[in-house]
Formats: sequence, C-alpha cells, structure tokens
Amino acid sequence: MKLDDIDILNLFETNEQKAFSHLVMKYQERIYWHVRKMVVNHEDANDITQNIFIKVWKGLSKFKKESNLYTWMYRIATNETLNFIKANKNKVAQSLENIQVENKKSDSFFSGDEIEAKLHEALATLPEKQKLVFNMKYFDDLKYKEMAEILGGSLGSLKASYHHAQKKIEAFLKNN
Amino acid sequence: MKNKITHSDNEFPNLEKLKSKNGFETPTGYFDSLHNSIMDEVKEETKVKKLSFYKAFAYAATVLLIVGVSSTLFFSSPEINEEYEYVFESIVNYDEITVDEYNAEFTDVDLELDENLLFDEIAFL
Repeated sequence: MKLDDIDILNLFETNEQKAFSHLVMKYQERIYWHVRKMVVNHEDANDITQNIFIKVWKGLSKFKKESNLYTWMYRIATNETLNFIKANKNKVAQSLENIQVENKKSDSFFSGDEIEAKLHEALATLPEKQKLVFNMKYFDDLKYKEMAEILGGSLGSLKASYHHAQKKIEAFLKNN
Repeated sequence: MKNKITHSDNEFPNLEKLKSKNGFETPTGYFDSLHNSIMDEVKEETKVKKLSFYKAFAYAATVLLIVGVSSTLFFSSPEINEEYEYVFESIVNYDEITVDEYNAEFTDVDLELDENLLFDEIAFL
C-alpha cells in the first residue's frame, strides 16, 4: 500500500522508521532511475541511491510540510549525483562523457538495442545541466514547474534547455 | 495546441520512437534488496545517534558528579572550615578586638595607644 506524502510525514511524527520504510518503497525506483540515467553504471547508481536515502532520513525531521516532498528528495538526489560525477571526473581526469560511455559499454545491466545505446552516447555529449533537464522531461515526464523547483532557473530557460538537448540528440542519432 | 505537439514530434522522430525506453536493467529482485539495505543503514544510523546521545549524557553526568563531589569535599574539609570560621569571626568581632590584638594581627607598627581601648574608639581619638 502506497501512502500519500502527507500521510508519510504524519506517520513520521509517531513512528519514524515505519514512515521512512513507506517513503523508500514509494520513491526508491524513481530516485534510482534518475541517478542511473546520469551515472549509467548500476553499482554507482546503487551506492548513490543509498546515500541519498540516508541524507533524506537525516533531514526528514527538519523538512517543512509546505514544500513538496518529492521535489525535495529529487533535489537531494540531483546534488548527490552531480557531486559524484564531479568527484569521479576529477579522480580519473576524464570527461564525464567518456566515463559514461565507457561505463555503459562495460555495464552488464544494459540490454538496450543499438539505437538506445546511441541515445545514451548522445546524452553523454550534453552538458550536465542540459542532460538533467532532458532526463527529467523526456524520461520522468516532470513538469517544468517541478523542474524549476529542483534545478532552479526560469521556466523559459528550462524549456529552451530541453529544446536544445532534443535538437542535439536528434542530430546525433541521425548522424551516427 | 495539438498542431504544436505534432510539429514537435515530427521535429524529433528518433526521440519520439525511443520515448520512455532507456535500455538499462537491474538485477532480479534489486528493489527489494535496495529497500532492505537502506532500512538496515537507517537502523545503524539510529543506533549511532542514540549511542551519541547516551555518550553525551554520560559525559555530562560524569562532569557534574566530579564537580559535585569535589565541591562537597572542598567545603566539608575541616581545615577550610576553620579558616572560614576564623575569617568570619574576625569580621563579625572586628569592633571588639583591642588595639593589641589588631596590632598583632594586621600590622607591625607599634602604636602608642591605650592598650585597653576598643578598636572603634581609636577613630574618635
């Protein structure tokens, strides 16, 4: 049974662990896929997702009910993922694009066909923020308003960013 | 509005074809194990949190106990009590001491005054 966010938050006041268990059940897949599409590798996505939920657990008592729980979690997930990418980038001194392409090729949990593989290669060529915008809109079908809450920026700039990303990816798919 | 969407779809035909497919997979039963792993970590975090609270409480209690015991021992020491009693009595009976007693206690100057005068009476001489 999936509880509403408000029910989860109310339950958290009396039974923290039970409420959190419901929250993990409800959001773990969405958060995992959000991370996975950014870092590509399953093991990395798994570690990051666990870290995200531990951060959510630590911050949940301070969470204000006026905000949207999902966008708050999504923001934590986005920051955590970007931090991972940044740290990884520095560590191996390679561009994000190359890391992701390499990871994808060595990932045993990739079963997509050639065009899906190309889509991920195209995604790897995008700047991080543009890629986030594209993933949130294209795969997760988030509203621009929600995206603005998570990433900041105006609705217009997000729409423009998504359009540019679509154009670049479409061109990559046509030319490769 | 509909035309606009159609235009957008035509503009990116490959993307439209791929919509909602990402080609990635997870190991079988992964999300059940992910939930369990996260909840195990949360339980660990809670234990550590409780332990830190008890640790802090234990430190505070120990410090309070040490301060309490030291204060009790300090103020119940017979030597200190005697010293305090002496000082207290000196203050209380200050006006009762004689010039000789005053000289003996507070100064080496030998005042040539009537030895039987009370200390307060000297001021009016």
